[in-house]
Amino acid sequence: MAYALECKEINKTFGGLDALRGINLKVTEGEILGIIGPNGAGKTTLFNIISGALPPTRGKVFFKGRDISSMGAPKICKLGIARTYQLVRPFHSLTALENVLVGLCFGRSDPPPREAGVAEAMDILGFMGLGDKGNKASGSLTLVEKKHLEIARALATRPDILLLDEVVSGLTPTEMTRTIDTIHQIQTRGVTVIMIEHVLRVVMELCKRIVVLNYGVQIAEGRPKDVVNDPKVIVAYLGKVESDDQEIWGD
Amino acid sequence: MILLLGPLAALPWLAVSYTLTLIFFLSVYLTLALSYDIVGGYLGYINLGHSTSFGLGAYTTAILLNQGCSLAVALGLAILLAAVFATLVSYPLFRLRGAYFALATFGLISLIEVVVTNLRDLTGGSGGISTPPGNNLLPAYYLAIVIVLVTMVFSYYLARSQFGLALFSIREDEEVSRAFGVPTSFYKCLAFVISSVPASLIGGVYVWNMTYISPHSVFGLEIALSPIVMAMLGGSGTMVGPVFGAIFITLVQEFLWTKVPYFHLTMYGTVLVLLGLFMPGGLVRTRWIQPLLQRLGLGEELTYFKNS
Repeated sequence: MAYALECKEINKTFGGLDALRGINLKVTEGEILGIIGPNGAGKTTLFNIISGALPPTRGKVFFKGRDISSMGAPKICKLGIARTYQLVRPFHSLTALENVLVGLCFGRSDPPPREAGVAEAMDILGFMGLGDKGNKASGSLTLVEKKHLEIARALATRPDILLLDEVVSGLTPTEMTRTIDTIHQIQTRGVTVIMIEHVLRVVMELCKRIVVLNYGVQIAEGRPKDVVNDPKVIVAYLGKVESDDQEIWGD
Repeated sequence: MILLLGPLAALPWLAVSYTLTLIFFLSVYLTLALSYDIVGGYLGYINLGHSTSFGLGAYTTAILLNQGCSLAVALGLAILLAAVFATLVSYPLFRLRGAYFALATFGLISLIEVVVTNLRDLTGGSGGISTPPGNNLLPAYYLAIVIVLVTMVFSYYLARSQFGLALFSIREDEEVSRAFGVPTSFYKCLAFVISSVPASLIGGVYVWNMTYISPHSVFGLEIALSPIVMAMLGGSGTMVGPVFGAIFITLVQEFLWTKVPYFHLTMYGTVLVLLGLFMPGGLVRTRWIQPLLQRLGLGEELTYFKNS
């Protein structure tokens, strides 16, 4: 069986900077895969490549066995990969409902007729806990609401794969718990989720498997528990104690 | 609606031709302001060269009328030529964004003006071109009003259509819009071409009524910038905005021109600066106009997209 998503030897360079080097990723259908790594590790760049916002310099991305690496972002979205943004980017002056409608009307290969579309958009907003916010300008929503709106807009495209870029960072613990629940529900509806996350609690709770990136290289992969105890990962996050220093302290 | 249209239709029997001319000019500017706002307000790309379509439409119509074409044929071909021209320039232009797009479109006016000035055999060069003489004020008045009304209705429904939603989403964030399946490049070009249609049409009607145009009169600063100022001061991104803006500015100009001779341009500039300073969202988004719009059932005009 083809993987839901497969990245083969993805390389991305910006000028002289290697943002990603030889990334290989296999995502099976229905799983929640976590991607972690320090700032600047290339996590968001990887999302940009998968969603078609940027072309890879080398390497290929396969969606259900189909090569999508040179397809444009609109086409990839219609095929079934939707994303959210780390720094929320709703269409500010449009209402929450209209934001969802954009995904619904344009992000699908089979957009519904208008009436049904609006009803479905309201359903999705309700599912994300924004049922009463449909007529509010999205720019006036709170951060949590904006993050949930981003998920709603992505869900409106009926994705097979949902790319979540730090959806719980910046939320309070209560809000986090609710969001985790929601992501679980999305998964049980049959959506494959790939999430970039810094908050370890969320990753530990949701993901069966984690990939760790550092300076554009994949340094570890596996079950959350094993990965966080991997010395390479600890070094990537906390840095290494230089041997010279050790001697000083050793005295 | 009938309250508004009745007097407009009966006006020729009630008023002097000065008033008719005034309303004719108002219609020309309003059509330009409304069609400008499809790209400038809905799509969010400041198109300073919108009058290029107007000028092309005017010149094409004038040349064809001189060849003995009927008005309908001349206007039809004028629209076609302007639309083809818009299609050709839109692709390279939309590779630019923000101020660069605005400047490039502004340069387009000068480009076409130079071409028109130098094609002396066809266009009469800098001396301008005359059409067969005749008093067309009355039919031109009605035609212009019909064009304005159609453009208004079109603009109103465009904002409520799926295509309108796509344009608004491009204005808000083009990259995200693309990521959610909107064919941004194609839609931008389409909006640009659509907005050229009313402009070129009204250009044709303009020359039919005026019977004389020169490169200066159709590619000049006045006709290039006034509609944009009207749309912006009235309230960009709505159908009612350009309408309020155009009517307001025309009235202010008339008032100043008659009451404050010699200083009217200075005063006009001052009014524009003050409006820009104190009503950044345009006239229609101010406290005084909003309740009026709500009473007219147009309150939803002020939200940007109106699908809720």
